[in-house]
Amino acid sequence: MKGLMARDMIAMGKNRVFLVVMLALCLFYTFSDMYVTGVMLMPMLFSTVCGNMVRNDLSAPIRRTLFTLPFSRREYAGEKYLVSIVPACVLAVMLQMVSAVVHRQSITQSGMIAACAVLLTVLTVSVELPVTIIFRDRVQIARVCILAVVFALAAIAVSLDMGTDGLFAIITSAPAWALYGIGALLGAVALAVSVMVSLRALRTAQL
Amino acid sequence: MTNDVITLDRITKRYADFTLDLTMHVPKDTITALIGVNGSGKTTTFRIILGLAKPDTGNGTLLGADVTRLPNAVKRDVGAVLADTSFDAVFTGDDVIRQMKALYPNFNVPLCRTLLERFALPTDKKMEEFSTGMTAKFKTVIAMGHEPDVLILDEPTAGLDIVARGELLDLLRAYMETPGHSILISSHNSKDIESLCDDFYFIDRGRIRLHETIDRLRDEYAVLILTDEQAAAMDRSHVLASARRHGVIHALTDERRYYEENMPGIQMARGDIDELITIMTAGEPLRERNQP
Repeated sequence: MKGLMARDMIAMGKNRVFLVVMLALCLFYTFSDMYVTGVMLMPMLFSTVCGNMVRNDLSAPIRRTLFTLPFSRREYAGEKYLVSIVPACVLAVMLQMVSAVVHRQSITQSGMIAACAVLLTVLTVSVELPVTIIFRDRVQIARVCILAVVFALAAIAVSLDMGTDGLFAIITSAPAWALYGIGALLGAVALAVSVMVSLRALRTAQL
Repeated sequence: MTNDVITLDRITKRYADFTLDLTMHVPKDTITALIGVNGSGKTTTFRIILGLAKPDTGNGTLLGADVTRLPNAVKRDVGAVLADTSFDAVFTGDDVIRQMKALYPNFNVPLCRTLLERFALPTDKKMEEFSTGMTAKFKTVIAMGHEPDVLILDEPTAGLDIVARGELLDLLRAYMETPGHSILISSHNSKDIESLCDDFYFIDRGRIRLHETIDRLRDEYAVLILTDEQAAAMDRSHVLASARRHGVIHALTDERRYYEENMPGIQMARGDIDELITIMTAGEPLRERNQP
């Protein structure tokens, strides 16, 4: 796994311009009124970049060279989840800390925003990685289709009950510990299912 | 205890229009070739050996380990070059070396750099800027960098000019000077195979049709060039396959001396790999040699 991480660091280093632009955007969002957007969006973007690295790895000319190297498919999947989630979550927390200082947010509010960012990152990676592993070179099309389905479901869920007794009202009035618990459970389940699907897809893949 | 570094025992792999069904083994301290026309199953065989494709039935081992479950320790002793593959396009030679050093604890960086210099391969240029020949040389050098026990090379000389090909073959010969090393190689260049290898497997439409040593190919094999009357009258018990070419019958035999003695004056050409592949692919098989 150490070797895979070294490889990813080299690949990330090749995207120096992107990293600089992303950092600049992070700072812009953090110091602007759109700080919540910045905290939520930037880690998700970072995770998406990691998904693109998987797509590159699984492209036809590279995957046969790559998977003869001394690591198992399980180690590969594990490393990709680690690299996609951990730095992005750390980034989310750090951005929120800066934002909290700049905009004088309460600890409660900061915690909730950071938790939402972590959850969104985990959910993004949970969808991104198995989709990329399964669809490989056709992942762009698959991604569009899946995003369309996800947004449609989200829109339906939101539109279903917007009244004072509706789902949205229940969520916003729930105590913080319940929201944290539901979020953690949702993230854990999504991640577990994602890892199982990815491992199975890699195990059965003809490289 | 087997002395084979690679064994494939009744390995089958079915695709929609093609079935691979073969048994073969590569002993230690030998260079074995896998030859055949495009689409005959060579690359599929390599992919199975390296654990990239799972066979439907049968057993395969690489350095004693099951090919469907290769441990990292075994992979560290294997160097592989597959056709139509590359490293990351944006990586330079230095990046690839750094990557390999992280993955193989015993990756010999000075040796690798010396070889790259010998082949005039830059380490500061991106892979996407390499020519076909440069990529071929680079992949082989990198595969040897961690000093593996086994090299598995799928058309390593494809795209190389004659000078570079000679240098690469010399490199492989030098690699074999270390006891315990083995190579499984495929190539469309028959001269490379005949000058480098100890033995070869001929694969045709997913099946091993012939397994022979290069020495025996050189000494005992011949192509009999026959008229229709001669072909009709001859003893065909030592003919492996025959095909009509340019209006005459070309018959491949592994008993040259028999026909020299019993059909004196018969037109005979040297049996080489190109003729063997041509006749056995296009012609009728009359006798299969060394079939399991």
